[in-house]
Amino acid sequence: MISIEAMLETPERTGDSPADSGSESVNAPLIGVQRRLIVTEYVKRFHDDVYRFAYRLTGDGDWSEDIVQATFLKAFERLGQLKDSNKAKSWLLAIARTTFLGDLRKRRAWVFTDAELDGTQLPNPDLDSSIDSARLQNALLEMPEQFRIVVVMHYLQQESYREIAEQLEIPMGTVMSRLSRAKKMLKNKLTALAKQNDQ
Amino acid sequence: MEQLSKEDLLELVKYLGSDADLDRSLQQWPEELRLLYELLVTDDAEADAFAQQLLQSQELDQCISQVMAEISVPGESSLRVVAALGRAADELDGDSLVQPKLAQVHGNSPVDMRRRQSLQIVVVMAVVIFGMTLWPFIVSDQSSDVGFAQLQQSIEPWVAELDQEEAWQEVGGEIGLLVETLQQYLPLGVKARHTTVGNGQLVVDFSSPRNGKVVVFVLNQNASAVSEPQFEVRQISGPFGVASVRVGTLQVLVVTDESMKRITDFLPG
Repeated sequence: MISIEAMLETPERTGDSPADSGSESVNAPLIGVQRRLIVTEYVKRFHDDVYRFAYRLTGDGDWSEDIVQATFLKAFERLGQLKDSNKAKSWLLAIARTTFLGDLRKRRAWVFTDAELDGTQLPNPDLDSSIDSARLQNALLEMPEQFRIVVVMHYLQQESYREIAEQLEIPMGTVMSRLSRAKKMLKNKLTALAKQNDQ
Repeated sequence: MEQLSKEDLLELVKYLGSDADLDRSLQQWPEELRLLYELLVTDDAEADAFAQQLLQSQELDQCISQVMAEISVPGESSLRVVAALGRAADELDGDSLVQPKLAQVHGNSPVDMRRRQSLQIVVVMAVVIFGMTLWPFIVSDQSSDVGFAQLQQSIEPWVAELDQEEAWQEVGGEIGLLVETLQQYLPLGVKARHTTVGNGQLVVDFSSPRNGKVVVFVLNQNASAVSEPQFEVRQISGPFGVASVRVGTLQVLVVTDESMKRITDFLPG
């Protein structure tokens, strides 16, 4: 019998690195040119993923591009911290996430509220037919960042509870709870937006 | 501890990959989950509703996942990133080995530049303000062995010590020349005697009924020479008036209790 712990792993999780890349460590002394080549390769492979991730967090194209650029420049500076090249994508997304949060702190004070959970609307059965990218983005932007991040990690990156917990350095139970509430929140917001659209 | 709801159960079941045919998949669930299901779903109607909810939720999740990735990426964005990387790499010496763990290379981003510039401005301003505050002391005492701050604290004990001093000596010899020099520039009077206080400080006493108490502490006889005599009244809290005087290579401090004359009366002009 499988345990709940094992169940929480996503079996179909896609690997970070393409098949042609090995699991060699990049934690070796590297000449600047080599580091540039490695990170340039990461740009080719993961740029779009990082951009999409950033965009779903920010909802702003320019800000997303800034985050993407900062992410790869930080990756260039900190390449020695990447222990396993197979985890390059997760590593880059983690840099993007912390960059986003850092930007956010500069822009305004952290907002964390459970007020969003008070909605009692039930998900609309026909909701999926009314979801589009812009509406989804609007719903995401209305969510507190802590919830937005787990939702994006879950839906966009297909991260498991355990992976989200490891990356955010929070207990798995907190991830489960936060994700459950975040999904409820997202669906409530999508329902509300759909109703607004219908009127 | 937070109680698990039907929606939590739904999420767990979805993670398990169960389909809407719960009767079939229930047997494959972990025991804890089966127990939870049995607690929350108690009859057939609830079971049907739960299965329906599961199906809808799975479809919605799938839809959200698909839509979530629907973002058009600006075509030139990656080129701009590569160009920025090139600039960052150019800042490094391409021939030298870099140990990333030991020596992080910090990008020369505009934000960092601004921070550095701000820090430089603050440091320069602090140095200027500090320097301006201390300038009079630094300039006038630069050749002295005794700092002015030290003098401020020393004058009272020195004068107190002088009051107890009985080993006053008549002026003569080298000290006679020194006294003559002082008398040449300062209206201190003709009557003088000298002694050396505990810390080796040479002191010339010009006290008299007319002057009141006035003593000259010789700070340095071999200071850097000044072409013109320099006189400066020092503001020292306490019962004494003090003036620092430089004449040639001589640097002295004139101290009076101002019982008869003010300190400025002992200075020329």
